[in-house]
Amino acid sequence: MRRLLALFLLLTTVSADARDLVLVVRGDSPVTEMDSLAVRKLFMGFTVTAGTQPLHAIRLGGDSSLDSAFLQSVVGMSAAQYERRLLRMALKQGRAAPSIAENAAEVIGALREDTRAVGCLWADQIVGRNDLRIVRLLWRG
Amino acid sequence: MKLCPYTGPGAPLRSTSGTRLNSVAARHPVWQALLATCLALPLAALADMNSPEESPPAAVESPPATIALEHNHDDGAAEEPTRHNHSHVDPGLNLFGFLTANYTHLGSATAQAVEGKTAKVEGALLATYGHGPFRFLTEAVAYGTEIEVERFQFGLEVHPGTVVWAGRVHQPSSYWNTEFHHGQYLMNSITRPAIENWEDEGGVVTQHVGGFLLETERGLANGTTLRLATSAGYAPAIETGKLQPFDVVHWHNGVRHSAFALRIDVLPDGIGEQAFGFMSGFSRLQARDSGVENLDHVDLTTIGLYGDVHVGEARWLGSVYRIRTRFDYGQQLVSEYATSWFLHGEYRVSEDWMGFLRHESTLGTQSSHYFNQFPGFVNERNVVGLRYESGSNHALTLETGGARSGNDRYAELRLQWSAVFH
Repeated sequence: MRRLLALFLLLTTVSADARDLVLVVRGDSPVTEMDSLAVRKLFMGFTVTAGTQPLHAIRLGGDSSLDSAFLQSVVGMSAAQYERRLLRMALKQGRAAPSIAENAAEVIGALREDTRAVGCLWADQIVGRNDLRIVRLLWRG
Repeated sequence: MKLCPYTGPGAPLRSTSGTRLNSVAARHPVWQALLATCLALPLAALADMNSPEESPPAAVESPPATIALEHNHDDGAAEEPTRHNHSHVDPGLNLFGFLTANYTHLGSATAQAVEGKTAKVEGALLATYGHGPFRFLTEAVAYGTEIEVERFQFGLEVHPGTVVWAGRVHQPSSYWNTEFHHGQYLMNSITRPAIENWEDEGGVVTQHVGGFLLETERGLANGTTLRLATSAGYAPAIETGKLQPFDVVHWHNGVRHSAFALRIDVLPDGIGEQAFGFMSGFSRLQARDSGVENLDHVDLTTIGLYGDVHVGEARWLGSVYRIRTRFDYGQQLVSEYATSWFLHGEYRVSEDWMGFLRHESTLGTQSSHYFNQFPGFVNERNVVGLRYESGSNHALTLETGGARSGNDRYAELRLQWSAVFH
């Protein structure tokens, strides 16, 4: 009985702490769907377009747990490897790396300003915002 | 014609802290101010002439959400900022500094004399600027009292993923050099294969041209990315044992003939962890100052294949080139052929440590009139090395092995500290 109770508590605790990492765009963005490869390419500095318009990636840098989930589930490499990849892209063509915002409000602000901005956020950070839209679930914690 | 104030992510530092690159650029206010002053005004003027407002707005599809969102309140209206649907990706100004300190010991006095000092410090600065569809990129390398502008190019993004550059560019028919350019920190080994050496480091193949470079990439439905890069411009000239490429500062000096290059990449995984490709180049090298009697020019043609494959923690990168040189002595044409190849392997033992090895060989050089003009060219080399990375911007590398230049066989020992600042 105690084991069952412990298991129940564990499950409910995990459930309460679980957070979904999602890909977010502005409500009227032309981006309707993105597969995982397109997301990876976008955040690695490749050109990804919606129609003929290039998309612009925004990362949330001030959240270490989000950063870990992002590195694991989106780009699939360590922070150092990712930094080197972005550096290489800049060296090749002077390409812009994804913007890094300090907090969720900055990501949301940037998304609301630009229909072609694509951001990574926890789903609970945009609950109730009808001006933003989730395009893809990236990771379920 | 009106330029609407840009408030999208490109003016990024207002709405976000900017990219890591931008946020660092902000730590160099002097550099930023100088470069921004030099570049921003003319580019902004050009952008004004080509304001994106002039182009029709992109069609915005009705967006079905793939995941249901819970909308439990509406606070958007009160904080609604001015919205601009015409914004575009704007890289802004980015600065990178590369620094290396090298110690080299070669077991041959001749090779050491060609190599130069045993201890060297070298710095490189890469600056990129983008505003709307306009791009600027320059890469300068300083060593001792010399500063060389390696790349100096203005670009126009004519289509997303397609940029046309003009200026002094790296010719694209070398995968190794277009992968690492002058960013020594990114190149895990200390040496690069001899066939990929820059002209001022004893390189025998055209690497820099003054002219145009087109780079484009396309994603296919199956996830594969295709890239194409092609260049046309002024070729280097052969001057007393060295290739002298087009010089942006002394661009009017000497006669230069044409050079063309092409590289086609296939990235099956879409992002370049696996890459395969075809490379080809042609350069007519002016050779009246080469010291060879009656020699007017040399036509250098290369054709090659490369592969770059990551398998787990290992990476294998190899290239093979077939090289034809045709000497024009006025009344007589002489052709020679050589084959050059290398296979470079790396294995990441942990986040900080990696080992590497490389074999490279160039066949057909022993009796070659062309290769014999370049003293110190390494025909064969076997190296192994170990690299320790500290954080994401410092590395200490030890490389050792054996090399052969002509009939001179010798051992090599190199130690390097490299770093990137941005």
